[in-house]
Amino acid sequence: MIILLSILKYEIKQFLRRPIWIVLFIVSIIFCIVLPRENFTDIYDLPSMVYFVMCINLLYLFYGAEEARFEQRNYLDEQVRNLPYQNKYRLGKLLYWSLISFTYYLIFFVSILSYYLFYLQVGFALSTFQTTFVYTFFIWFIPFFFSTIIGYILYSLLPNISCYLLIIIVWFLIMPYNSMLGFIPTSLGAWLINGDPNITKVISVYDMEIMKVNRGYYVQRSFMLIILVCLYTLLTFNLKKVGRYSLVLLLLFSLCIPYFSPFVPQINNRQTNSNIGQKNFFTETVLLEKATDYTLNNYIFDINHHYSKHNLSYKVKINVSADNSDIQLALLDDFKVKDIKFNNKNVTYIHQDNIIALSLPELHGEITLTAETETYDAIAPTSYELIATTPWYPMNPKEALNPYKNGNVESYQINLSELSSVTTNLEIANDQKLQGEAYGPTILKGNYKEKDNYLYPYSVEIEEIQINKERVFNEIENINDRLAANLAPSCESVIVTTLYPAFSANPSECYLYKNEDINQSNNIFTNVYLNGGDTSLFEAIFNNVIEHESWQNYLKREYDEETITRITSYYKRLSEEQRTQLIQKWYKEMEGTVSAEQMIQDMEDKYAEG
Amino acid sequence: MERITGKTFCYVSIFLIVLLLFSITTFAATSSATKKVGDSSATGSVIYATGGYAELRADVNGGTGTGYAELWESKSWWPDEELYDINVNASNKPAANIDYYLTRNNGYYVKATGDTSINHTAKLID
Repeated sequence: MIILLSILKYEIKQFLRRPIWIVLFIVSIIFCIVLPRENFTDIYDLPSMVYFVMCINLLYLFYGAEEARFEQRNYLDEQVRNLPYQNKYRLGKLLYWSLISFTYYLIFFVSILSYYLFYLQVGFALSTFQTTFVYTFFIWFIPFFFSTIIGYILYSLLPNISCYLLIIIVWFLIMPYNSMLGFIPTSLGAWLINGDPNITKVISVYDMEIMKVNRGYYVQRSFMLIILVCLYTLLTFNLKKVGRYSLVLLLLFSLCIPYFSPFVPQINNRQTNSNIGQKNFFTETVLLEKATDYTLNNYIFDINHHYSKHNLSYKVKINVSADNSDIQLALLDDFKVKDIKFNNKNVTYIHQDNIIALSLPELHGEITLTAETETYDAIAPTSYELIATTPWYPMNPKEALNPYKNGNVESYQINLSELSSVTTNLEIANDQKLQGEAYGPTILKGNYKEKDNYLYPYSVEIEEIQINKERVFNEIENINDRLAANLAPSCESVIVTTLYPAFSANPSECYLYKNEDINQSNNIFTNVYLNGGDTSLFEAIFNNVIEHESWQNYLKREYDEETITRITSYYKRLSEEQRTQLIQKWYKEMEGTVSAEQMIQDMEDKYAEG
Repeated sequence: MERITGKTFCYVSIFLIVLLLFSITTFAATSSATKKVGDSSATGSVIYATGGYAELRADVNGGTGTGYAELWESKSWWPDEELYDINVNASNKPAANIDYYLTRNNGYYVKATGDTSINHTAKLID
């Protein structure tokens, strides 16, 4: 111990004798705060400093290389090899690097916190501080330390000027930027990343979701630590044959960790609101006639949330009663079906374009479906939003298209792997199961508040929700006026979502998106008013875009020249009032599923009326 | 009158070009990107918002499959942030649009992404 302390003291003295590094480290901290100072608004912004942290890592890689160069220039290696305490000296060196990087990290972290607290006067709770500290410890400090070791190892293996080029290449490959560019596939790249695996925000109920260190981080950092320490020990320690072979074995074993680990550090995918937020379920699959003539009931779920990436799996049993053997179920493609059984016997199925097509051996029985997802954006490692109006579970495609008009009450029983921080529209029974009857199961994991009939994330103010709700109802009123309709979602309860970015409703619940920057009228129009079927022509007329180039191109592919000319020319000739009358007629009589022929006929008649 | 030297001419030209580029990026009211068949994405230029609702739209020009119009906020020194996206599909949804509130003076741009088989345009009209 005393020897180690003396080595540390010696190394610190050496460090102080080389002020260039002190200056570089201090300047790097100043640059990291001064340059992006206007971007700092809240403590949640820290992950956005990723580019600066990458640069600091490069600095540490060079620092590690300089350490090796310094040793070689002063023939320290030969001197140390002749000392009895060679291994302790090398261990002391590791401790010294961890001390240097930790001290740097502390100064850096405290400087930024001080900037927030005293200059920007942003206050935060103790839990926020804890999350921030753990995040920065794993994403800043540990990578700085690892970079020093990597730099040292690289220069020891290639002790010349070209090593610096190698360092830059290695830096480029193991930095978070690579996760964005994808030079190395994310499945492998996530294990190599020496920093934050997520360069973009992770959308979640928690503002700080991206800063929540999940289990994958621990495994990945341990994986890297074992590899680096093994390599460093093999290079610098005086070891016997047995020790050397053991280390090689350990190194080989640790290289296999990514193949065995159930936890992965990479958690973000491309965040596509469209996949979950806007109705585009059945883009290429045409629903078969009578394939939706069935009822589903008595859902029994076993749901496992895996606290890593977007991972969630479930097994569900459903009673089905069908009129035909060939049926179609709606289930988002993000949920990969593992198998489907009917009365405990495997059945064949096709799952594509968010539709499962299967043939039932009998018209009544029990379907058992097992599915898992790694990509569904509404699932984050520490929170998720599974809401009743989205086909994250098997439902009738008609209900998926319009849960407000086609929703049915079913009974549900749900066993969750963990019930803490779960809010639901079902009841939590004594045996810790969720059960009850509803238009669909809504399960929210995270910090939600409940007041009056509102259920909302902790970070949202109830006044904001009321304003947002009022806006949505104004938009509904406008659409009602245009369609001469009188739809009025009851919104007995209002659930505010952070991950499902659109308004949706079933007969008893309304789902509001927390972001009020978006005008929701298009989403409301398709999610609440339209009822499935081909409504594209009707939507084009309603949105006044039929003359737009993209629509004209679309019409050219679908219809002959004469049909297009007639639709467009009649549309131009009709007055605003006549157009409104036709829109109301098409909505009232066929809920928007008007064909081109019918459209032309009605336009002709309307034009003839004058 | 003194002759304008080549050097002065060069400086003035550079100044005017910089001014022109600056003007284009500062005052352009539309960010537009067209992704052709075979491309994985296309990015529009940054526009600076006047404050208020702007239209984000996507239009299919040809091809097959699904395309996205992504709205991004440009940030100096930090990674840009995706705010929202909408989708179009060549087989049944040739155009889509939403209105999104943009904060005054912040920089925004669009990206057209999606299947390589689709040709579509993403636009942000402020």
